[in-house]
Amino acid sequence: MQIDQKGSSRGDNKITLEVERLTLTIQGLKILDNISFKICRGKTVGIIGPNGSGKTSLFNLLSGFYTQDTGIIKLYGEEISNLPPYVRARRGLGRTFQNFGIFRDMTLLENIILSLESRKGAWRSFFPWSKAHKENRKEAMVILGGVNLENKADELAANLSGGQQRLLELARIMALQSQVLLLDEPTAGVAPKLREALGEQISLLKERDRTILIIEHDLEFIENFCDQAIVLNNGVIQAIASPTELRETNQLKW
Amino acid sequence: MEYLTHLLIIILIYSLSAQGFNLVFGLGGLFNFAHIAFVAIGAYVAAILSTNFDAQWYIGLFTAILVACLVSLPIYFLTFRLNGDHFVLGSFALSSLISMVIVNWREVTKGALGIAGIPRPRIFSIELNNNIQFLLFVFVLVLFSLFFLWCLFRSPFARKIRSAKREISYSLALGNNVFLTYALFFILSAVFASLAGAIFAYYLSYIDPSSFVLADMIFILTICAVGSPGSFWGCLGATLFLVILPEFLRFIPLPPGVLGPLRQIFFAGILFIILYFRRAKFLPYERIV
Repeated sequence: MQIDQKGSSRGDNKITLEVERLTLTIQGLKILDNISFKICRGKTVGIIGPNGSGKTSLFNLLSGFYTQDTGIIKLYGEEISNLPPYVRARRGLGRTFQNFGIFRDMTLLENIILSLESRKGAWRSFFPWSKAHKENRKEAMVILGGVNLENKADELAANLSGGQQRLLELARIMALQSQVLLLDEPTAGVAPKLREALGEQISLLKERDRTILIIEHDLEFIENFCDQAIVLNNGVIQAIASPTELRETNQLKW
Repeated sequence: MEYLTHLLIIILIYSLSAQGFNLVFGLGGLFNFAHIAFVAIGAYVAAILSTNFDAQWYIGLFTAILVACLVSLPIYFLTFRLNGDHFVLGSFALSSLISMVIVNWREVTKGALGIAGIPRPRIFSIELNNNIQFLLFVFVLVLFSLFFLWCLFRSPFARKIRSAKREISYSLALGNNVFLTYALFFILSAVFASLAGAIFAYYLSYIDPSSFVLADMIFILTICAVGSPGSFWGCLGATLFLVILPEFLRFIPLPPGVLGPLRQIFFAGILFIILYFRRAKFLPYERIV
């Protein structure tokens, strides 16, 4: 099943992420069974399903934290199925984590600078007085400004509220300039006001033609942002359709 | 004056060793018990080379560092896959293994007798027999090392290893090769430990296995804990503080047989106090960016 041009004005038909017959078993328990889909550039895809349906496991497989039993994962047509997580991240597969994947004992600025250094290479900014280091600092401040956190740049990330931590995580992944983003429940535990801010950032990423996969329980959020939705249930793809279609045909029963 | 010079040299040597430990323990969060073994390797390699082979001091230093690096690699590969408490146990076992080799390989290390008569370094045909000259020599070496360490502590690599300290997966997801980063810091830690060991051997011109035992490891750990793990200046300050403080015990009229154990109790007390009252508040984290 292919998620393509249909129903959207943006993006070309270049396939960025392709998954073929992916199967995952953990301790004899089948978590994912024969998952196949293709996603084109610039598409935003929601992944929905009940708890324990294998959504996060799918993300862990895609980003390399789990190893599949069988199946192939391709990024831009190149197979990445057996690469370690950090290589996949360098190839442009960014992800966020369900339980706030930020570095709590580092400042906000350091959190962002880490991404910048990861993208640009660490050797160039080895010395504290090097030009590259100063540029990174400036760029990080701009990125933090984009999510309205620049006045907290020198605070520890642990001091942020839940919503702000999500924003910081998004900002960090923007600094990494990943082309394919896996967002694991970006709005979980976020107050409505910050949810808007998060939505703005996601729209911004969509405008930049990023391919985005979002795990989300909030259907309204999915309807607002996603072109298509994948319904996972018990490790099997139940349906792939636009969110509106899913709602109208009443397929979301669990 | 002579006493003060001696104290300064000891402080400089310990600051190097403690900063080396700080790289892996403070920044990386790995309690590497094998650290004292690297100090021992540095000391013994330098001592053996300059007594048995009449090697110049720079050859001794260089070889000591090289050997420590070579030994640190298999230790790293063996222990990195262990986590938390298992890492401590694993590195402790390997550390004991190295000290066993030192004690029992009598043909090379002279066992428990130790190696005596290690010549002082000779620079431009001046042998540094005077302690003040030696202090200058150590000062230059340590200054260069500490400058490099200061840069390293605020470099991208320090940020990388600190990011992996708490949660490896988040760091991996940012494209950080955690295994390689830790390997780099592990080796650098061995470099500074062995450098400190070699300077120690040249300074005392006599070494034996009793200088590299668990109590010395605890002392280095105390320095790191007092100076707030991961903090460069904190570690330096703590070295100064903890080397000078027990010197006051000398002025208490007690027999020498009591003074030694008293020092150990003293350190245990300090370590306990620090760990009891939140160590992070003792010397707060420095802002690096």
